[in-house]
Amino acid sequence: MRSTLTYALKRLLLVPFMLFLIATLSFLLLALIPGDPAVLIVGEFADQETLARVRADLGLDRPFWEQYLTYLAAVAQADLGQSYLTGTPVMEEIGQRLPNSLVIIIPSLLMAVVVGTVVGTAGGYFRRGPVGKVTSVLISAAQGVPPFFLAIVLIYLLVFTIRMFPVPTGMLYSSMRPPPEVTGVVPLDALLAGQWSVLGAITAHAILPVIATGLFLASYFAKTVRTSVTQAMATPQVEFARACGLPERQVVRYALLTARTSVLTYTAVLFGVMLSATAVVEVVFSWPGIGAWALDGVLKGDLPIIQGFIVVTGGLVIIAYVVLDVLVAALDPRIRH
Amino acid sequence: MKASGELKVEDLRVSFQTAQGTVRAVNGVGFVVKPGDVLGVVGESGCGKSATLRAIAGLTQPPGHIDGGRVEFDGRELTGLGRGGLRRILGNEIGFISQSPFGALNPILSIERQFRNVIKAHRRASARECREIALKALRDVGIAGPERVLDGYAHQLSGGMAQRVVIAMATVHNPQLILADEPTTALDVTVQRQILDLITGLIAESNRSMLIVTHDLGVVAQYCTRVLVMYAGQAVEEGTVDQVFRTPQHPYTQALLAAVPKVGGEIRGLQGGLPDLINYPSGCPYADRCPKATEVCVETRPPMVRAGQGRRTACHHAAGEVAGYAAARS
Ligand SMILES: Nc1ncnc2c1ncn2[C@@H]1O[C@H](COP(=O)(O)OP(=O)(O)O)[C@@H](O)[C@H]1O
Ligand code: SF4
Ligand SMILES: [Mg+2]
Repeated sequence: MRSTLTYALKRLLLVPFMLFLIATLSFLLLALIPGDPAVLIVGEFADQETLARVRADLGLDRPFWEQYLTYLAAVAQADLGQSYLTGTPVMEEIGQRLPNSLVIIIPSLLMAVVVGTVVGTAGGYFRRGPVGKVTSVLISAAQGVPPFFLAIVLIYLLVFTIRMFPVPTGMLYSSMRPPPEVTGVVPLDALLAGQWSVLGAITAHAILPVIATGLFLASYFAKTVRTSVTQAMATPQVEFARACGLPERQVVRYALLTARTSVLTYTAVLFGVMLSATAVVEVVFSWPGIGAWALDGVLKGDLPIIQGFIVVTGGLVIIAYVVLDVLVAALDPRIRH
Repeated sequence: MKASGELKVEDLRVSFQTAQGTVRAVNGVGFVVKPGDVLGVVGESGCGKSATLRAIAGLTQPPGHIDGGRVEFDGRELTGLGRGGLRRILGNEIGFISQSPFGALNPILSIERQFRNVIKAHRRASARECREIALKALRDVGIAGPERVLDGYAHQLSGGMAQRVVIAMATVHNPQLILADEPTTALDVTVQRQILDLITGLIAESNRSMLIVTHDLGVVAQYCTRVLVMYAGQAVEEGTVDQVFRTPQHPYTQALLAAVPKVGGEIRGLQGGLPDLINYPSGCPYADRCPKATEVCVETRPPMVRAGQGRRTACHHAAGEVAGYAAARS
């Protein structure tokens, strides 16, 4: 147990260093992208004087290294600047939107792990029988259908045809008043105000986007689990387990233990992917998440938004990887000891 | 009631479907292992020893397939039992010892947990009872500090220790028959002897039997009562160790023994290789390497012929009781 703790601490010490790298990267991005932010803010027809003033306000007239240090210092204090176009602080916006995205991402990852593990195990165990063939087809199909496409089909069928789910206009019904603002995070505010009907509305609105993303992610889990289980079933370990007369269900459990590490790794990887890939599904469901917002920022060239998005999602991915690493170590006696 | 525990294998056939074609790995092997017998199965690498052993235990995995034959244990036909029926026999009445102990043990579960699973697979027992049983089993295989081993994991063990643990697990229910596939190849020589002494000791105690695959003729000479020589998936000679080693009748056995500098070493330096197992020869599989081969050898497969006292040979020109052969070697 103590060695796991030391291991965790060692990993955690790396986090600030990686965050620094990410901040540097996002700063360089700003510096290297052509175009004048001042023009973006005050328009092409502004006079030289105004442009110069805006540049000075942004600190763009300072030497490169000074800009870099100022930026790092700001990031270190969790200040990610303001949107060029709306002036809203980027950190504040992310703070309100990121939880909304997590309302989709985390359940769809959980769903994907469960569905993927079940389907993948069945596929790996029965790979030569009809079950294996069917799962194989299902996995390929699910991988081939992008989440937004599935989202549109689901909306058409379940919202407009059989009216099982609410119209995809964000998290709440259009007639619903948002909860009193405390944190600015709608689900959290609803919880604080004890407005269960609002939470219920959020859940009802989240189901389809979760299914659309979850099924897509599940296909990837199913594929890795199937590969791991297929390989594990052919190992001397499984052979010995059978030779000792263990029941098949336990034999499968032995095989799945080997797949555990790859499932965990995949969860962290896909979490990272999803942070940046939810944009399209968020757009389709008008979901006020971080992805759709960042996509908008990219399209408009709003650099602080892009930078802030990179720093925050990059940081989250790093943390997810570290947590995963420690978890894998804690679960595997070969690393633990 | 654990009855006689005789193993009877008849005309066993195993093949592997590969991209190149169907590999005929085992082609009509048959033999009997009686209680008290320690049957050594020898032959070059690739001649179907492991495939035979797995088929007996119902552990053949795709792309392998049992094409035919019968395996009878203790009067019951194993081949028709199905997974569930077989499961109750494996680990309980038949113990299986793998070649690589680290491959066999689960790296993620503690040794105690694995023992508990194996014990509970065949009897009701509380966690405490399981621990007691496992501790005893570990002591029986000569492990001095069984508590520490039980609380630990596979990777903390040395190769010899790990193989002792595997043996303890495979024999925790006192099986009548032990199947062992080169149980000591992964270990160094001194440990090899200790392990073999250990396994054969377990058997000698109570008239149990064992089938051991090995490429070490010295092991056969020292530990086995009978020997089965395999070539290209066929049994070519069978008899007591004394009979086969003193007066080998099959040219392949003779070559095998001649390739060992002295009984006690490993097989090496045999000329040529196994025949094509995909386009399996219709005559004697050894014909293309055999110095005695004649036309009849290429055309018809020699049947396994009984030569009294449980001695059998499959060769058209088998040497009789050639006293001169043994004399020439000593
Ligand atoms: N999984 C497999 N796929 C294809 N061929 C195999 C497989 N396992 C074994 N074989 C073939 O079956 C033959 C017998 O193998 P095996 O029983 O392992 O030999 P031995 O144990 O005597 O060395 C070999 O020629 C080998 O090529
Ligand atoms: S049957 Fe013929 S080829 Fe085969 S071992 Fe005997 S003599 Fe040699
Ligand atoms: Mg082998």
